[in-house]
Amino acid sequence: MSDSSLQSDDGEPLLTVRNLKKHFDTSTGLTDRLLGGGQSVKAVDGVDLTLHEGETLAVVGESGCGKSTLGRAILNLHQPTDGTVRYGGEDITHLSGKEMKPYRQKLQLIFQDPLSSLNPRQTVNEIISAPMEVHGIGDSAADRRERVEELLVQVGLKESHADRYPHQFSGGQQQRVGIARALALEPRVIVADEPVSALDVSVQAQILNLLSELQSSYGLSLLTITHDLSVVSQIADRVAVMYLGEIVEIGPVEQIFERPQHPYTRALLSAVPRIDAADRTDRILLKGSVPSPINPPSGCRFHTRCPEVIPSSAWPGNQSTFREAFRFYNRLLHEELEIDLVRERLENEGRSTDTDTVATQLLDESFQMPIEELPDDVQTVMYEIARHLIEDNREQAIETAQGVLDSPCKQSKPEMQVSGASQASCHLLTAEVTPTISPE
Amino acid sequence: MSLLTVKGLTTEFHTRRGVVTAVDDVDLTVNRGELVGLVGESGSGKTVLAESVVGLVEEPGVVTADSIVFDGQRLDQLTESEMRTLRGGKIAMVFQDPMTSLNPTISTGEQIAEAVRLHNDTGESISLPAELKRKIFGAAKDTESWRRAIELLEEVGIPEPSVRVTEYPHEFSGGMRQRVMISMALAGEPDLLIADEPTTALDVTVQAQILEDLKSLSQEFDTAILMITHDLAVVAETCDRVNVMYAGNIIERAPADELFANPQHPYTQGLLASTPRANKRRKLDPIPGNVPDLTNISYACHFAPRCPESTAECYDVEPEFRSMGPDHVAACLQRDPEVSDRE
Amino acid sequence: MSTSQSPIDAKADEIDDVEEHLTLRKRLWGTLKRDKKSMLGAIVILSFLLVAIFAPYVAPVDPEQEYGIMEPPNTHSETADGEAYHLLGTDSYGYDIFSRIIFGARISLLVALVTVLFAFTTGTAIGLAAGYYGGWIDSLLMRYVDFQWAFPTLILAAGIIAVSGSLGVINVIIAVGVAFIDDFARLVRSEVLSLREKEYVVAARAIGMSDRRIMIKEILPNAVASLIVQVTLMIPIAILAEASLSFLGLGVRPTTPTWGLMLNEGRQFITQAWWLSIFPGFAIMIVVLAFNAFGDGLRDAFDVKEGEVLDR
Ligand code: SF4
Ligand code: SF4
Repeated sequence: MSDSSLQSDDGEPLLTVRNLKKHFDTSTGLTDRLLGGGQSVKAVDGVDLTLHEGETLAVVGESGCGKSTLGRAILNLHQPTDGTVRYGGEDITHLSGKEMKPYRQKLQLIFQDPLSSLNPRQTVNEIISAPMEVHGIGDSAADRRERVEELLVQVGLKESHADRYPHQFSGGQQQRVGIARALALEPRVIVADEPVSALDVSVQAQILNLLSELQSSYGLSLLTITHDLSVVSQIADRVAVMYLGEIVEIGPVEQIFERPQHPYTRALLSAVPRIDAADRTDRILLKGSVPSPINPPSGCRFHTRCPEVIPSSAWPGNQSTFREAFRFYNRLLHEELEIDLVRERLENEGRSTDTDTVATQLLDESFQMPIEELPDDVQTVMYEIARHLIEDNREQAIETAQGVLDSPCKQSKPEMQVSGASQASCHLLTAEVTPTISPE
Repeated sequence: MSLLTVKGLTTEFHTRRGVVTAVDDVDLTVNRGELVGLVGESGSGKTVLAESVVGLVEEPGVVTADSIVFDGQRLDQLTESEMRTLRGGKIAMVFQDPMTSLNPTISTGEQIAEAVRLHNDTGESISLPAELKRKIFGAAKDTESWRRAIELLEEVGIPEPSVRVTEYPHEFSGGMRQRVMISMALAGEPDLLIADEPTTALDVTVQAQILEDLKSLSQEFDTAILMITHDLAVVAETCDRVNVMYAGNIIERAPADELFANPQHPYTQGLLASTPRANKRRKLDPIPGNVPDLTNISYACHFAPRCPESTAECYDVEPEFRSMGPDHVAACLQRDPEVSDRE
Repeated sequence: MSTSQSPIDAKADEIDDVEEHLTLRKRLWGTLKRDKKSMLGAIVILSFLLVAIFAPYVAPVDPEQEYGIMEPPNTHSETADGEAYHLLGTDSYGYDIFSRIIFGARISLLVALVTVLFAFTTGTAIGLAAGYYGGWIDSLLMRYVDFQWAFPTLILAAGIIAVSGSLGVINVIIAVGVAFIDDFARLVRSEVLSLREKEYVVAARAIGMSDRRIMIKEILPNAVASLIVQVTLMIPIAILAEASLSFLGLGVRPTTPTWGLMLNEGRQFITQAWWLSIFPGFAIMIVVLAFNAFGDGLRDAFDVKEGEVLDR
């Protein structure tokens, strides 16, 4: 395979990912498969990205957002469910192992846990020369050995380290070995999956510096997957923020860090602990936990936790009261409100368990502010919902809630909106509604 | 007023390869209601230090100390059973991975309630048969301890506590589980809470919540917190005073603001220079080399092989603390006492 | 800077002592030196092997030579070419028991080793393929293994011999060997399932390594420790299986000297001549115990947890 066939034209990205999806079947056995009992985990659900020659794109998100799966689906290590991955114009999405081989040389991977990514029974020489053997690089073992030693020096190790075994190195050195292995094939793109998160702070910086040195000397494109925003700002040119299988915002690193458009990005940035007191901003605390990717929320996936969620047109109060009520509504929808237990608690405390007391107690526990702070007519509605629920009339409760609480964020999926050099998907960027919490 | 005073604590592990001195003659003070940070990388001995204080070091570890005084009591002279009542009572602990410290087969409520019964006088029987009965047939819900369990969950910010109290640990998310651990730690109304990497396994957004919780709980209950972590930023945001540990020694100690504005020890300086900051890209200046293996370290200043300022003297003369300013000390031979603005 | 060597680094290197890498062989030797029981086991196994190999030189007389029948131990018989000493007596045909035990070691050990080797290779291949590919290959192979597992080893082996219709060493080897396949297949599959998720296997795939190479070079070497332990635990079982088959009259041809057959034949005379069955029984016991002691030592050396190999 000649290299020129893979050469990208000027401006055309090296790697183009379109609408990439990876769903995992949770069905376990044969019976599950036959009966169709399994559900699918939508780990990656429609991701678009591009990676240009020589740039570093960081995919950032919290655990379970699908970022690692995305990296592996791009490398065809997980067979994508849908969508395409193009490398230099060629579709590599559904290539078989053999067809994929020439591209493997161009696309490499660095792992999070340096020790487990190295075979404990092989010497460093064997580990680093394996890719060369597989691709027929180098004429003899001695030839390859020479190259291994060269690579070791390049990643800051010593030639003599070639005969050691992985466990004889510290974590940082192991990561260097992993990097040398990835470089052995002189790839164009390296996907680095949390390359420093398993390392000690003082060693992280060594590896980050090494990566950027190598990037400029090899002209590499890096796709860094990380949860650590400090790492992102250190090495990335562009950032893609992922939430529940989707990219919610993507753009140049300065713009995203200085003027984040998406409420999730804002919350994420504000949560990062800062060493310098001057850098600290007001913290946006997210309530609740990330919903399950088996059944992601409708509309904007962030709506169950979004601090800026847009009130329904029928809402008479302000946004912050809406947010509280909306959370209550979401819990109602997910059957998380358990009347019996509330009743039991009242009983145990020796209090009455008539409908009104239970309703008050339920609302009391569910709202983090005094319920009296809600507008009067809303209070009435909330009590009505609670009463329906207590009388075992869930449908009625939901119907009542829908009338006042259906946010546009829940009803429709926001499209990516371009703003400057970045894009974000949030209704606030399109709707006439002015954000109640203005950015910064 | 000092709550915990540790003097001259050394913890050694005798292994086949030699003696590992995990903690090497360390002093530590925690005042009442204060948030104290203990930062260090892996192998710095920060966790072993905490375990030594509360008597959790196991064979082949050997702890020796001049004195460990907690609330006027000599911890180093307590028997194992006296120590056990103290742990989880006046001294509580929270660990990195809450799942391993929670029993997966017992409801969280019952686990908290048990802690409540154990460390408070609720008038409920805590005999073995009574406890077993609760474990097997479920907790009685009309008891003082159960009510307290719900209250505690509420206090650590778990929504709908009367529902969650009946759920099992696996039904909680990572952050929620850590809250359960914290509520359990609070059951004995502790004076000191030792939090060992409490947020390391959590996502940033959850970490932010938990750190806020810890800060406000510390104020509310006047509980001192010893926060053990590798994360400088976490310490910078939460702690009043910080101890920096390296290879078994505390090498610098200062109020948090002072430490981060004016670090003195070459290791602290190196650590700060090598930590990337969100929102600011700058040239990182890594500390060369790796954290040393603690077996039979033969040189005096443990940082010497990696230190950019080390001289031959550093390998032979053990650095003592020198005062770098009010309440600020650093153990380095190349620092003159009381000259604080030397770069 | 990471790539440049400062003088500090050089100084640091002097004190950079590296943990020694212990190869399998070194770990094995270390354990034998420390653990007297497994050392003893190894010595016993080795001496039996030597005796088996050099049987014609070690045995005092020809095992096919007939003397007076059922002479008790420690007796002499007069023959044409002089006197013969029967350390362990003679059997019901008049063969010298000591010599037959020595020659029997040949067959018993050979059968055991070849059987286990056969089961090891086939079972490993099945387990590797099943674990690595998963899906329908896994289902198919493992259903077969489950099917086989449901039969007691001996009944299965007896069935195979009955089907093949003749007695003989080869048939015993195949019968017992096939019956042991499931043990190895299950062990290897479970190892592969955990190893497959290791990042170095993902790395190998990312390099473009072929499946075969991944299985042989990346996965198998890491499963080898528990496989070796399993082998040492299976050999004594194979010895016993061969003995039991012979004991049931399903083993090798009746006049071949094997421990199992000797035990079987002596059984009828146990009240009159105990030595006919007791001595071959002892031989079996000693070898089995030796292998078990050795296997336990290996288990420690490789740090294989109890549950990881299938004791049966
Ligand atoms: S669309 Fe609505 S819920 Fe989603 S991020 Fe924007 S404001 Fe929040
Ligand atoms: S004593 Fe010497 S080696 Fe240690 S930190 Fe100070 S200058 Fe560096």
